[in-house]
Amino acid sequence: MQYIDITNSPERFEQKLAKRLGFSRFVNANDQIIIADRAGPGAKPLLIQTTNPNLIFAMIKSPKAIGILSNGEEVEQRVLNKLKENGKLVVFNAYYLTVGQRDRVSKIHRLKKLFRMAGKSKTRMGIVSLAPNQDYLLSSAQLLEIAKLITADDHQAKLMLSNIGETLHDI
Amino acid sequence: MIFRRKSRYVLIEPSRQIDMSQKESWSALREELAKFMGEKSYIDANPFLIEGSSAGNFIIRVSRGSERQLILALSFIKCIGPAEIGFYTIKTSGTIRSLRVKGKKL
Repeated sequence: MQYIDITNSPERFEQKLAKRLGFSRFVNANDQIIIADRAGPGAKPLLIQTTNPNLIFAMIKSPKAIGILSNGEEVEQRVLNKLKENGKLVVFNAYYLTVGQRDRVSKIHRLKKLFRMAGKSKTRMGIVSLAPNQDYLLSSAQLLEIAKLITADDHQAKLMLSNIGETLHDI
Repeated sequence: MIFRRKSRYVLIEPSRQIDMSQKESWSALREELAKFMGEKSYIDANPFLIEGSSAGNFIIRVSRGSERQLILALSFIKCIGPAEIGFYTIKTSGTIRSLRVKGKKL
């Protein structure tokens, strides 16, 4: 079971640092994958960041799509069903929680609600750090603890981390 | 019967250079930990700095069962005083020796 983290920094972090933190490697959202709200040309894997169901339905069928990136926004049930049909992920963003203390409790409640909805429709889920710099990087143990805040279950938290590794191991 | 508190040791690496053996740095980190963990959890965890090197890595002792709360609190601490910094928990162990060996390898 390998753990992979997605970061969002202008430069790539060292892979030795990834090994120290318990990940097999880092994948950088600025060059190795794309975070976008609309489809564009290119063969890079895509993480969808929009709440518009029509845009999501158009992009989700692509084999390059990883899933949708959530910052606690409400996601419609039909979107979750579509994600499950296509085997894509709901990706939770740990940077959303670590960036500031303000409203952290309500952010966690929103993520828990999304987790419950996605869990009921049996959609696969993942969690990433999306760290913009080295101060916001997290070890795998820390990401696991943050996942437990959302899932309240050890097994589900580990599954969230390993789902990202399974999806990205070909990149 | 001698009561001995059971402990866990956590090896931590800061994202920037900080000398945790300095009293001010450790006091500032303790304040942040107390803020994030809450009074009761902080008292139960009873974090104590075992070793701090000028190279950066340091080892904290906590009560057994509280290491996960420490790991979570360290995820949310992003500044010590005016300085921005992050903390990575590298390893948790029941002995200091294994963490020292790991720390030397880093």
